[in-house]
Amino acid sequence: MLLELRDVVTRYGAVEALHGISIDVAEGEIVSLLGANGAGKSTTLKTISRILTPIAGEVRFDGASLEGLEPEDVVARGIAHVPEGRKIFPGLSVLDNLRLGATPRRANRATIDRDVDEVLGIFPKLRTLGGKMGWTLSGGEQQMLAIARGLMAKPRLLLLDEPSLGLAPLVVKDVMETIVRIARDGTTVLLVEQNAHLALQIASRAYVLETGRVALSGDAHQLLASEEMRRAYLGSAVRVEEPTKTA
Amino acid sequence: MNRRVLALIVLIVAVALIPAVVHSDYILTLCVTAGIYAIVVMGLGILLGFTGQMSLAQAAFFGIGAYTSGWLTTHLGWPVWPAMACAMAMSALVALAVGYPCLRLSGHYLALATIGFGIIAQLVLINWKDVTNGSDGMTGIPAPVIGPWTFEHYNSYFYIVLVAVLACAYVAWRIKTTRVGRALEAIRENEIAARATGIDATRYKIIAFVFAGAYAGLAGSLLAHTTKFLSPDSYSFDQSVVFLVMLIVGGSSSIGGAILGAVLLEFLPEVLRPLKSSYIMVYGAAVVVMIIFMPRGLVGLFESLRARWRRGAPPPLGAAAAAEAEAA
Repeated sequence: MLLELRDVVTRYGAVEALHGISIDVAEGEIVSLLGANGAGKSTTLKTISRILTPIAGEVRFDGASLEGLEPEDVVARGIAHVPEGRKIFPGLSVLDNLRLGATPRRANRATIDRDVDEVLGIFPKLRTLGGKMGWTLSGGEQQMLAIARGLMAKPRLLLLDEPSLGLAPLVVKDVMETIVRIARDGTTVLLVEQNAHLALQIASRAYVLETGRVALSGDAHQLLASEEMRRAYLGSAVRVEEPTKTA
Repeated sequence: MNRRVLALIVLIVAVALIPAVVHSDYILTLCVTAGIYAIVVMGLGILLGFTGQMSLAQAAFFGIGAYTSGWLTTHLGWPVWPAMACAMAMSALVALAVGYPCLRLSGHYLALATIGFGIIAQLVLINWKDVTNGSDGMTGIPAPVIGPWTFEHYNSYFYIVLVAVLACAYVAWRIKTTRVGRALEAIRENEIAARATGIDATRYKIIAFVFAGAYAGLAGSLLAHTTKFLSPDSYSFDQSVVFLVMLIVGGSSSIGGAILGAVLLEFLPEVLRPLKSSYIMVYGAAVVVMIIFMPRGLVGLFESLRARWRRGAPPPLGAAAAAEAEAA
């Protein structure tokens, strides 16, 4: 397994947000974490990237424990986290945002410029925006930039937190297609999504979280077809998709 | 040669001609002091403007530099130049020692910790009489010498300060435009996102703090060898606040803004002097008005005017804040 979480417990102050969750992600997969607001999806990602420190359990990446590491060390190990809310650096240009993504690799300028070019190949829209400041970009462009910046670290595992949040349906489709392409190119993806229907269409497996526990897990297609899943989560997801049909 | 570089060269030449056309010792004193303050404020700009970390201890590092240089030249008889280098290194070292624990704090807590350090540093300057001569102050500090030239008077010392200001501005510009600068700005914009991107935020914040200390140390040494007298009163918390106001009025994330703010606020009290005792009231009100109406400082105001002149949209008052609001 590339990533293993075993009985992980994480707290926000006095409040326990994860009550012992166990998750596996194998190399080359797209695995989705689903669940309602407050289920612990983002907390799980923050725990993996060590922005939050678990109080119990273990997170192992490529067989080695991440215990005691700082977030920047985790990136250097090969896990890039694209946080929720398109946390790009608005006061920096698109190119500078991308170059920053390469920080943990300590590569030279020529290598970084070559990688920027390669990443821009995946995100052709960003290529025309190189010198523009982050804050001038649309929501979809900012999301693409955030993912592109994550890829600049050349991660083996990409943690994506709600990449479709607040985006127009057509842009969401674009983002999802890009995620599939990234996975096909060899980067493993752990995708947090509220839009369960969309996530299950591109993921190979999924975990459904409920109030800090894994409530359901399994093959994405089976989950998509399961009555329990449909009743609890997909009903609302289908309603979210309705504007797509009328648009 | 592009127009900006040309304009910068013209500006530097014009400033270099000041001692040739201004013969008032008093105005030259103000120019030298403004230049020295500009160095301290540029250092603060690297910390607050580039990195977003608040410090109210800049006067303490200024004092450490001044007293280190003063002590080495008067007690040990060192020449001025190595003493100046040592003063810079000493302030940088103390900044490293203070920054390491303090920069794990952020926001108000960091500001409070630096206030505490500033007060302790001033108490040390007052009470460590064997070294600092306490409240009586340190006297007999020599002027710098290069070959047959002694930089005794303000009209010659002006050039030492000018070279130092230009060198510090160049270093700050190099920091801003390279990998380190990008990392510092990323920390300012969003520390959690910066860390998730792989930036060692604590290390970079310490680097910025050390630079701020080194700039203040150099400036302190420059002041020591021009006034030739040091008193602990000059390195109080109030002085740190003045440096902060200079930076905010000029424009915190701009090197030119730091210099402009220092020069403007050094000369403003002199312009207001005819108002006699009420000058401090007008000075205070002027600063408040500037901060309210120019939240990005004088440089921000110039940029807005230029953008309007070109009929483009004015840049936002706070790009980061606007993007946060959009994302929320």
